[in-house]
Amino acid sequence: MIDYASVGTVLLAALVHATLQLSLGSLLLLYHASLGKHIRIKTRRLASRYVTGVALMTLLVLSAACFIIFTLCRGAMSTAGLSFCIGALVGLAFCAWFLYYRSGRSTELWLPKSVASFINRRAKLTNSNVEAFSLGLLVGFAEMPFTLVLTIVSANSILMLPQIWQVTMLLIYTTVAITPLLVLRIGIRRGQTVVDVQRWRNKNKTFFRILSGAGFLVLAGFLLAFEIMGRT
Amino acid sequence: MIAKFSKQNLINDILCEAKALGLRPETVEPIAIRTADEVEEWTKGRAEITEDDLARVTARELDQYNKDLGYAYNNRNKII
Repeated sequence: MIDYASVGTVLLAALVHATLQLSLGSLLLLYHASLGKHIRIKTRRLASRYVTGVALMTLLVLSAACFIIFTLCRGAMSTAGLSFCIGALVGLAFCAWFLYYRSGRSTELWLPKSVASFINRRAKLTNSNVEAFSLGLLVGFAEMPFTLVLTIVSANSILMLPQIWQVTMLLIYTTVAITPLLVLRIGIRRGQTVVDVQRWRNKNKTFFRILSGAGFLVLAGFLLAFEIMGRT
Repeated sequence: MIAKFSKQNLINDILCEAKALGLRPETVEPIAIRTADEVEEWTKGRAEITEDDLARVTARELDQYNKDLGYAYNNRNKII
């Protein structure tokens, strides 16, 4: 029988993951740099490889988290472990509200300057599909301070589902997490420019900040209600 | 960060930005040359200039000719 609370946890965590901006900003950067150098079809290929890289990294980290929890915790995390995750989610909610974006009118993120300039440089130097794929992997990895806890709580919930649903939820989580990238790709293909998208991101920066923080808090509350209080 | 001004590099940068926005090179080239001239004029008499100063002044000049181009130039290192 399907545990709907577990399905809800995975979907909610994937939605919160989707509100994070690093992978979206990097794809925009890649588009910006590549459209200035290459023909459109080459840029499209690079963008596809980048999205594949982010998706693969997300899938691999989630699968690894499932394996680690299954091995170390014998299938499900203890109440203490889940409580720690809830605390971390509350902390991340405040980080998303107060630290995630740098102050000012741009969409610059919390990243250390050296990391941001490295990703900037890599996006500008990306000329081949392999480089674009690697950039996707790198960005998926760089976002882990914010996504790791989401991944852990999702993995814990996935392990409570029947086997066929475990694979399905792994794929659903990954798809939901990369949905903004796919939407951006479709938008650019339909004639939106990088400036249109960046203006839109700048205009809605506060909304994204509130949405991310609220998402972390709601997930924490959901876990507390259904995974801790609901099972004791 | 201290920047070294090069007129040709600035023109190339502006043309790259314009290509990313889908603007025609023959339309943008006169704008790029005029902007580079104005920025060069601005740099004269200044012992040191930073990259931020250069980007800000270039964006301000570009804004007069094409708002999107000015915005793209000013925000190119501020996306993430």
